[in-house]
Amino acid sequence: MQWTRRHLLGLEELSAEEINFILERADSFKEVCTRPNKKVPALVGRTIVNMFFENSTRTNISFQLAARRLSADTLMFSKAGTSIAKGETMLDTARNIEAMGVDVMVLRHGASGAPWKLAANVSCAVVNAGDGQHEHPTQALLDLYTIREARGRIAGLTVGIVGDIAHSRVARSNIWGLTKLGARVMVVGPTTLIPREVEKMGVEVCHDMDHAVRECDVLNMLRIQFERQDGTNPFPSIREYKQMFSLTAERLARGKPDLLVMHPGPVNRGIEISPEVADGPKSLILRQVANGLAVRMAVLQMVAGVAAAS
Amino acid sequence: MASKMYDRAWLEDCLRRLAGEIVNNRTPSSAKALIGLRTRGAILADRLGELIRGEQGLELPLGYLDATFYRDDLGQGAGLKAVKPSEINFNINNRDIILVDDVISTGRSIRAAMGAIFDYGRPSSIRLCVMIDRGGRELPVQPDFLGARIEVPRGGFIRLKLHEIDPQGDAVYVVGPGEPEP
Repeated sequence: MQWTRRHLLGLEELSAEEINFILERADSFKEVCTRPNKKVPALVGRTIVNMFFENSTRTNISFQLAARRLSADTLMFSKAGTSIAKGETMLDTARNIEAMGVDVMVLRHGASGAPWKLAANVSCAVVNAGDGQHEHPTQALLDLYTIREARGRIAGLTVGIVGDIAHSRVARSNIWGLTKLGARVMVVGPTTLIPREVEKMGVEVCHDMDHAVRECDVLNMLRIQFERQDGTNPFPSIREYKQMFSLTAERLARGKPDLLVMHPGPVNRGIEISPEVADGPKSLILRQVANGLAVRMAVLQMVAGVAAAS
Repeated sequence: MASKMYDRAWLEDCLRRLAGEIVNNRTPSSAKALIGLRTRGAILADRLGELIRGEQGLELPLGYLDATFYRDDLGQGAGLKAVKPSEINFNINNRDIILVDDVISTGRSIRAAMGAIFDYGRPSSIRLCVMIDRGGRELPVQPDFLGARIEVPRGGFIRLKLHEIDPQGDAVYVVGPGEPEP
């Protein structure tokens, strides 16, 4: 096949073939990242702007480094200290930035759907770096890539996504990607953190962490997003949540011997995952971060390619 | 219809001759290595490596290169087809690299490949080996080891098929303007 999309907005709209195409391309960029010279001239003379209306460390730096390793020029734009603080709308800001001759916009925004709105209103390429509680496609792609790299396949594996499913765009994108590639997906957490009718996305719901640990080949531990819970308490106390759902070394020992542990970061150490598990031999957390770079290089190179040709 | 110019026997003879020329060629250093340009140049490099091992008893380091990210035609939609990782698992510094490809025309993919090679180190030289030169050069790049020259009318092209990946087996086709793929 040939890549034809000018935007990467979400995994819901991608076919399994397209997802695999990105993962295979990331293999090539991973090789680039192992060389003494980690840069290729693919996007020389192109400009990529990171428009981050929400906080981010990993994703922001990862996209910037990916763009630079493709030889693109990068601009960084965040909410604080810009005209957004003066009340300029996202679209006005974006159109002004586009008028300066930008080729790709990488958008993180608190409103679900914002990247689609942006893509419909600009002629450059748009990449979704996380929109509200909706999708975070490059995080899911790097999770898929990491599982595929560690286990050699995705189809047939049982993957547990644990914790705050309701507020998590990472969960949603992972569910789309994993199910399309043939994995069995289990969402695990207290009823208050599992969205109603999530089964319609093709996943199993599980409220018993010990059962999930026994069943799964991979556990993706999500961060409890205290900042998204608007004052409501989805569980009686952190202590109780830890008791029921935290991935501790003791719990992990009852799982399959080759069970792998992932976390999209930032980690609430000692809440959803204990430090010795996060830093332990079954943890893929830092490999996820390393792979994120290769996956984002692949995405940026392809969408910029389509934008340049159209 | 595309016409078949050469068959398997020709390709085998040609590769044997080229293997001999590569071994006997005097290069700045005495350490040669083969790098095949994906996809078909990589297969040809494999075959050359085997011939050099079998007939000359010489084991040359062998690598594969995909130069997609070094191409100059991003704006024409290049770089959107499938790619494969490069594999160069030896130190190329001070080596004489024999770059292997199937067909040369404009010379642009060779330029891209040379750019990519330099990102792995500083070879002592790069020589170019191609099976078919179809003319149409846009850059000052010429093969050092050549199978055959075939002039192709404007709008036409050459297809070199290899039994490892092509159902047609080993063959060289000339495809005229407007003619279907063989």
